[in-house]
Amino acid sequence: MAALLQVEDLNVSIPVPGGLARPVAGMALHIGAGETYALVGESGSGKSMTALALMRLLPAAARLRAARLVLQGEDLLALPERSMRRVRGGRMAMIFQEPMLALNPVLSVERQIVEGLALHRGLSGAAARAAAADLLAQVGIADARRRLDSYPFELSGGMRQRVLLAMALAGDPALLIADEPTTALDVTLQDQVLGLLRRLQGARGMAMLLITHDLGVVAEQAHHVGVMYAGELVESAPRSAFFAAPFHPYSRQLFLALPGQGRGRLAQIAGHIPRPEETLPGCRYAPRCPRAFERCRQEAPQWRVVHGEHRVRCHLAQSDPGYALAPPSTQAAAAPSAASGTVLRARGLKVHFALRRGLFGRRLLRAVDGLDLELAAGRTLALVGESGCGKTTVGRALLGLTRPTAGTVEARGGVQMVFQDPYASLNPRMRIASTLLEGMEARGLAPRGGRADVVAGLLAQVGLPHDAGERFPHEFSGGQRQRIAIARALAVRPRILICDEPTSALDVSVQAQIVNLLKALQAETGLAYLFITHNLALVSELGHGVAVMYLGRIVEQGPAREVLERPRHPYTRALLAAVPRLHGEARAVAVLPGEPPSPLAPPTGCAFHPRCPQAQAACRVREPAAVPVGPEHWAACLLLE
Amino acid sequence: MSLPFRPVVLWTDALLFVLLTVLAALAFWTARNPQWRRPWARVGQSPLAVVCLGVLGAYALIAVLDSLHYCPRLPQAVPGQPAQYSDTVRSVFDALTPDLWRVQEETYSAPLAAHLFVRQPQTLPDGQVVRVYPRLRIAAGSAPPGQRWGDIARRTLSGAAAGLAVGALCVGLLAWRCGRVRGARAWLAAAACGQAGWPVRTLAATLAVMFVLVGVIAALAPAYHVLGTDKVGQDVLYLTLKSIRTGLLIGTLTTLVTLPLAVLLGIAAGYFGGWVDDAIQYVYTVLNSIPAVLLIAAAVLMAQVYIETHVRMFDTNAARADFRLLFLCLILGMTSWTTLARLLRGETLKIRALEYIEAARAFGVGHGRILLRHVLPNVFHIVLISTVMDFSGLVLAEAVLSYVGVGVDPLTYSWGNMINAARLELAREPVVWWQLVAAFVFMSTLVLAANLLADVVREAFDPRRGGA
Amino acid sequence: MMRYLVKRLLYAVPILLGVNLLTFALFFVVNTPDDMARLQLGTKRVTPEAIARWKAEHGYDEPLFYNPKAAGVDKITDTLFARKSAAMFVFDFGRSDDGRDIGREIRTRMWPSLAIAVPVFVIGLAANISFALLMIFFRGTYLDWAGLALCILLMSISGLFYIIAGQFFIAKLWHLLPISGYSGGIHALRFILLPVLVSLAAGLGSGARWYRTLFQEEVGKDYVRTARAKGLSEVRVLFGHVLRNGLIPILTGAVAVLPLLFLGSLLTESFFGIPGLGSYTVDAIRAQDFAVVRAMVFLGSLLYIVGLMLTDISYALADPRVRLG
Repeated sequence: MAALLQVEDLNVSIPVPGGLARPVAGMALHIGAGETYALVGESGSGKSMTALALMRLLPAAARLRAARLVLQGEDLLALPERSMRRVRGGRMAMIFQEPMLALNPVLSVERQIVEGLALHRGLSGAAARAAAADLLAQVGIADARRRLDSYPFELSGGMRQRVLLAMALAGDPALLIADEPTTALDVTLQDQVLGLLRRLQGARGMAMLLITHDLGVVAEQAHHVGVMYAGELVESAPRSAFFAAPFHPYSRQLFLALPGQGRGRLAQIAGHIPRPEETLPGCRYAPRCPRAFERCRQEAPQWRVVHGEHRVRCHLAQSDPGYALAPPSTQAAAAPSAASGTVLRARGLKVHFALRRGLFGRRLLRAVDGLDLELAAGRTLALVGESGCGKTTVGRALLGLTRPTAGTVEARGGVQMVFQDPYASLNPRMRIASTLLEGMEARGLAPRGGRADVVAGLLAQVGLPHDAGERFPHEFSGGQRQRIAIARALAVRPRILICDEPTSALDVSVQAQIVNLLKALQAETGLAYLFITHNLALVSELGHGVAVMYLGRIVEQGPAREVLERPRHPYTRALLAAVPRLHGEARAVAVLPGEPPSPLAPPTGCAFHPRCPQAQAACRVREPAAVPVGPEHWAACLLLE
Repeated sequence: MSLPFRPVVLWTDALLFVLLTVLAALAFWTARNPQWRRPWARVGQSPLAVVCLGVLGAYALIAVLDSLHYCPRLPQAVPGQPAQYSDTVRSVFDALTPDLWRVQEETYSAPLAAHLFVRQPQTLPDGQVVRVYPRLRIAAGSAPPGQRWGDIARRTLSGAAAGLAVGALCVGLLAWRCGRVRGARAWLAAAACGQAGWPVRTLAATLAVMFVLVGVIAALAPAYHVLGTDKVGQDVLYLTLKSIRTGLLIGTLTTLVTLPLAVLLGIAAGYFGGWVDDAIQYVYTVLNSIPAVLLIAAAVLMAQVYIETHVRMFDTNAARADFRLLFLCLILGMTSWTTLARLLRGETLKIRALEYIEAARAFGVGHGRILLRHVLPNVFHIVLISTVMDFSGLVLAEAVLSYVGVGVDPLTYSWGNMINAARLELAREPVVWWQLVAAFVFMSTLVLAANLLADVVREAFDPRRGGA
Repeated sequence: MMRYLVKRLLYAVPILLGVNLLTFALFFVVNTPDDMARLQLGTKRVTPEAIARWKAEHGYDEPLFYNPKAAGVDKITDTLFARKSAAMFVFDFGRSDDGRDIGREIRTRMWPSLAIAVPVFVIGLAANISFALLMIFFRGTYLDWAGLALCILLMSISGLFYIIAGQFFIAKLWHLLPISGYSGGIHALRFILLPVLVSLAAGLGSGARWYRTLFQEEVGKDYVRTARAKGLSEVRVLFGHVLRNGLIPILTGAVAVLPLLFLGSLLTESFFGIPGLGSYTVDAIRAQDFAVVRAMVFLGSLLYIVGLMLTDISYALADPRVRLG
């Protein structure tokens, strides 16, 4: 059977000052009808640009060249723009990563869906409205008719992504390109949307090009996997073959960098991805490849068949087809320095924000609503929860940036914070040295030795070159900036470090570097971490203890291993079940329906009861108390009482 | 031995030099800081910006020369007496330009004419009165009437040649300075191919055009009124050039009022929020709600009353005119700080929520330090862009205000006053156009250069385009 | 909505009071009525009697804020502040220095002002938006570049130039339209055509350039890519999506100046001899008629505040995300 989409030697080039950038080079793709092809890669690998090239939606300056770009037997490159518009949104549709930005803010949902219906199915008036409502129902939006009149800002994040999907389905596409469709969503919503995509795909026989950085999502969704690196496809294989034995050293490194596999130290890839305007004579991965040899640097590798449809672009496939990757260095994580008592204790912590509405109206937002925490020296407590559960507010309150409404915080030793966004957490106008010394100067701590020595010491501690101090933040990558942020916090020698999603903006290989650094620092200095995250894999990697938050309260807390292996609260169980798995089959039904309620109007009784699969009448009325379920392990659920 | 002149420092002169010092300090600081050097380097790489900077530089040079004031010493009547100085204030610019420019004709004369534009009654030796076009005073010593065009052509050519020669000398000096690394000759060759890293050819062409213009004017000026004369017989070119100082002062001195107010209040409102924000917003809503022209008019009228009731405070006409100019800058600044303040307030609100500010607060860094080290440097590009963009608006505003009657003193040389005096001349038969055209061309050139430069600066400093 | 309006009106009072105090301070405290009288009568050899007479004639012979000589409430009301400044809150503008009723002048003169300002506003908005859209449609091409260059050139030329050149070429040289003047009724058209044309030309450069920036910002947003991915043509993307979003700041910005149209344009009206509020203001400034200037300041700030309210209301109407509250 001829593939639905055939792409051979696709190239995108953009003129830049001082050369020609090639964000995509020599791309090749074959997607069969009804098949899901997952394109995996880190940021800057050119996967989104590939998608735009297929749609012929590249920026005006970009040039598109391909040996073959054929959809359903039709050469898309030969089509005039007018005919291409029939294809776009018709036979080939696309959904994007940021649903809020991808929807027009001032047009109603109906208008935006009907636009596609009118264009590709010739519908108008009542028929179009009915069809639009039908589409909304298909993507799982309850009360579809009423939602048609909504505006994007009135919808929740998950709903926006569903609306975007409904828009894409309006033209009844044969191929759906999904560009990181769940990256902006929480894990339970991601689970819902992925399930929806699978259902729709099955029902419509639609092919899908899924672009993602998340190997877990790939494992659950894809039939075929392509790995991209620096603009090139480096490996292409059926899912099972790929997950059983990834061949390309880059693919293997990606797996080894994944947290939560219990391998000890995570693999990290040295160096950084070459810029799109950099031309290299050999393999583009060679400068970072642990297995690179002379030929890799001189000659670009050609496609080699590993087995069947499993193909790879690596010289090793020819020179050493049976090569086995050296087993990851399983140096056991350094034993945590002996816990020496509590360094941070919060009791009954409440943070309420008064939102002004109108002239006199006031509404109370209960961001944190009665929370107890304890953190021991040299230990890591992971605070887990979905966005909006109040976990960031907890961090800010512990640091003193937000004044608690009630409750006490006792800290023995200084508290510092590492923030989420490495691009916003460093002043772009300040030299790194000034940034690092700022805290000491503000505290009146005389730097031991000269300023330069202090800066060099801090930089060495986080593994940055000693001359970094004289430079400015824009000269550093995201991972390096996060190292600087850690060094800044360390400068005032705190005993407690609050890490607010420090790796969520980073690629997985860079995340590994930061995780390894944090572990090493803890072993060295006995720092205590409060690690705020939504990524459960990181919990098992870093956390000694874990606290699960839902709507301003902790619903389960205990030793990390205990909680992850024997979760007792239904919410914890759902969270764990929603994480896409590298091995094993995808679930048919979403583990958790709906979305978290607003903290402006929390449900009565147990806050989780509207979504809880095991909710009973009593849950609606009575607030659950903490029930011990194991050593240092408790959960707040009426079912356990 | 006493000085041959007594220096006079008018208020606006002093402030202009303060401003220049600030600019020099800023330039020095910028040159040492790579963060600010980068966008400026981008500006310098744009040929358009180089042309604009050349034009603005020429205007600025004239304005600065025209701001070095003095009173010349009077010829001593009795030797040994203490030196007496004249009451008329002159500037270095006056000293550098030919005295003949200040030779007043009787009335209108066309550009490069040898005779007046209007017939004047003249008594012939036989007592008969005829109406003739009298010969201009300035043309007394120049070529006889029949050879006027030949004379003009000869002077133009020699002036242009001299200008070109000076221009070539400048390029040579430049090559000598920039070519120290690889030799002046190699540098020149690279520059000629456009490979010097910045638009040398554009700069050379701009300099050449300007030097040729200066050369031609210098060659023609001793014998002709290059742009004619106005109703009372003043040289229009001289008037136009003298107006440059007023235009530039209004465009720049105003920022001395605007910037401190806008930066302080805008940042404070955004950073502190709460009642501080409310109070500052109240002040600028009140100021904004009064139509700007009316507020300026009211204030200037009041200043006028003040001047006229305190005549004795202002000993010379120059001091009087200077006070009025200064006051105009002050009041223009009072009305125009609100826009920038609002911009800064919005930007500060955004920056305040950023994580690096939180990090600083977590260290216990004080508000003052946060504002100075974290907020101010990150809104500075807005201040810069808005200052450059406001400049042209202020120059244009001067003309309008002078028309309404609340601009600079009627005795001050300014394009607004020139236009105001000449606007009815188009109704004459035959038309007297040169004064209006001269004022508009000189003003528009300045404003156009400033606007184009503002565009380049905005692009270069726009953080979304990888700027600043 | 009602609640919002009431709130907004309450907010307007302190602002108008501030404006009033500020102008009062400028006109009566920084310079006393004596100074004004001296200015009007000529500075040399003015007898105190002449000053007193002038002040009495024009009603400036009262204390500023508090009148100890009067009885009861009059202690407050028989003062300059109450008579000259606070009275404006009830639209009592008093008389100009030459004795005419300012309120009546305003009522008759606003119509010629509107006759020029309204067409300039409406046509100008349409022309600027069209020009900006055209540049955006051809963005990245030489047409866009040339359009932008034209805008910068147009906005670098003084407004006075457009008026003088318009009068010279169109009226004097080619005799197409009268140079200046005004008449009521249908003949007004002949007189307002030239001022309107000139004002349009003067406003085109900065207006179109500003709108182009707004549209350009919108064109770069993600939802435009989504719209293209639907298969919409460039024209429909531009009109259906970009224009809809870009128009919100444009229209609300325009609504803000809507009330100020009453005041007319100072330059145009006085150059073309239109008997509107603009030329009234210019004449008052030139004649140093403080009563009229004060009245116009008050009127201007009142209209500005009305404009602010209209902006908020139009935002709520145009942008579904905005709710008044």
